[in-house]
Amino acid sequence: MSNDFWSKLNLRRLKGYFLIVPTFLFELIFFIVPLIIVFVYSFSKVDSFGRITFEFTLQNYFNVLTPEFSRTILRTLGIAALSTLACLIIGYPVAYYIGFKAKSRQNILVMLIIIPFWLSFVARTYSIISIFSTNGILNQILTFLGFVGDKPQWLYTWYSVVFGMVYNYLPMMVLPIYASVEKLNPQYLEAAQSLGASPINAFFKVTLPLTLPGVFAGSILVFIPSVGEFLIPELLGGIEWYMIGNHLWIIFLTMGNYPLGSALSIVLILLVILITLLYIKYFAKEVELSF
Amino acid sequence: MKKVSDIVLKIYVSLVYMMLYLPIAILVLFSFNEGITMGGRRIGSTVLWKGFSLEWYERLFRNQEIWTALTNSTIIGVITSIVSAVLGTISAYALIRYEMKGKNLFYIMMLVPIIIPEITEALSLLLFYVLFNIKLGLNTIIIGHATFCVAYVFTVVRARLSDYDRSLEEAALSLGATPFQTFIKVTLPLLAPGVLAGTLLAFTQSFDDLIKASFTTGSGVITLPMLIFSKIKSGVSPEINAVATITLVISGTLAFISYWISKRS
Repeated sequence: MSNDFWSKLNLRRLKGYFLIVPTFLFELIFFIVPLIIVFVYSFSKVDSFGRITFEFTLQNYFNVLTPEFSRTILRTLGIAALSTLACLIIGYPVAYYIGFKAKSRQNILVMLIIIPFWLSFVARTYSIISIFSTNGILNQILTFLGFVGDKPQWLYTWYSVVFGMVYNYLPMMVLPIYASVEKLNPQYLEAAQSLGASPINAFFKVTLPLTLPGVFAGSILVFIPSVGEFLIPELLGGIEWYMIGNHLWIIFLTMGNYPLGSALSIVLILLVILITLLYIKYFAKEVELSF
Repeated sequence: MKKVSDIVLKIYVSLVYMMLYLPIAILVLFSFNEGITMGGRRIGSTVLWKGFSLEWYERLFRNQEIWTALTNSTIIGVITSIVSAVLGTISAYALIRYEMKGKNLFYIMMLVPIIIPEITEALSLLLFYVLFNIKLGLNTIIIGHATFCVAYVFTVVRARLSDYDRSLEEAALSLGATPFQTFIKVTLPLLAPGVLAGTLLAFTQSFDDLIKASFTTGSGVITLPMLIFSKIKSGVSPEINAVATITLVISGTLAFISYWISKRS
């Protein structure tokens, strides 16, 4: 009896492993191993002919820390942080509205938030150009409204990059916040208000703390792709607002300096991990405190 | 007082929705803009309306480059989504259904391809291909797309499976069905909506991808997003609006099918 039981259990286990091994190997070979290769390349040497030799050196990391690259790294972090904040400020009321006020139209409103995520990223980013260009829709509206004088330059500024990020990543912020707003029991709010809290007070003492997990998830989901973004600064920012992603593109696809690019991308990965961990640590505390 | 704040909130939310859809609407509108002849060439504006015309679509239709790119993107998308559907589904199923050690490690392994910046994934795969002397082309793009599309299918199917009722399978087995029959007749139909939704998502993610394709392509293989990107770099034109509109229609249709499937089940 017990013998039979064990052999059966082992067989079941083996079956599970057997089913999982192809996927595991696939991700191991084509995802994990390449990341290890980047790590190795980042310590390798490149001579003046562009030949790469695998001799240990930290030179690539020193090159990444020169003022030019440091500025790019800081600019990248700044734009990503600003975009996350903008998504939060713009997206929170939307998530709040869908979760609280629009019970009957909830499904359609959520679907309308999700649809852009399915639509071509290149097409969506391209669509901003016609809005922001010198003779674009925005300036046409301004002229129509009676603004005269020099047409403001919208494209190739930091705010057009941030706008592009918000436009593309807003769903990533709205959906998790909406999920936590929807879970919120409206009776808590009623209780707060019947105990004399003003609506604004009730919002800051009840609604906001209880939806912090959504805010936290949304912020991570916006921040991470923003830090690694290539297309938005490429089309809407121009060389002056190039981010790490644009430099990686040039270093790899134009210059072919793999060791330098590897070091820069290791820095990018470390930044993403570090900031996410700091954020989790800080916010996990906040979330705990609020309960 | 309360009414006023509700109205303000409503107007604000409408504005945000408008912000999400207006640029797309304008992009589609100007793909139908009439061009003018200048110096023997047809040019057109993407911001000043001249009149309705299908000339940019006609031009696309005759453009061999677009057809090649569309074919490449479709081939890559179809093979990627089939590979991802198989690998993503069986691993999600195995993880829910069987006792195993190291489950959490596997979850993390399937989460990382989704959250890591795509460009680092793309360049690491390029280094892998270069190091092992693998010839770049369609195959290398498909592998590149599959690494994150597997993770998408895995995540979607796993979410669907978490409330999956195992007693149905046990009932089939106790009524004399073989494990294989049970899988085909009971498990698969239960999984189907999740698998389909995940596969459609995988297809659109592959079909719309620019970065991984650009890093892992070779021998002149060009995909639709790469073609659109290179055209944008050489100047905006209603022709780009027309190609972009076509990609919007394709992925929009797939999004609608996915929504319809999830609503039906």
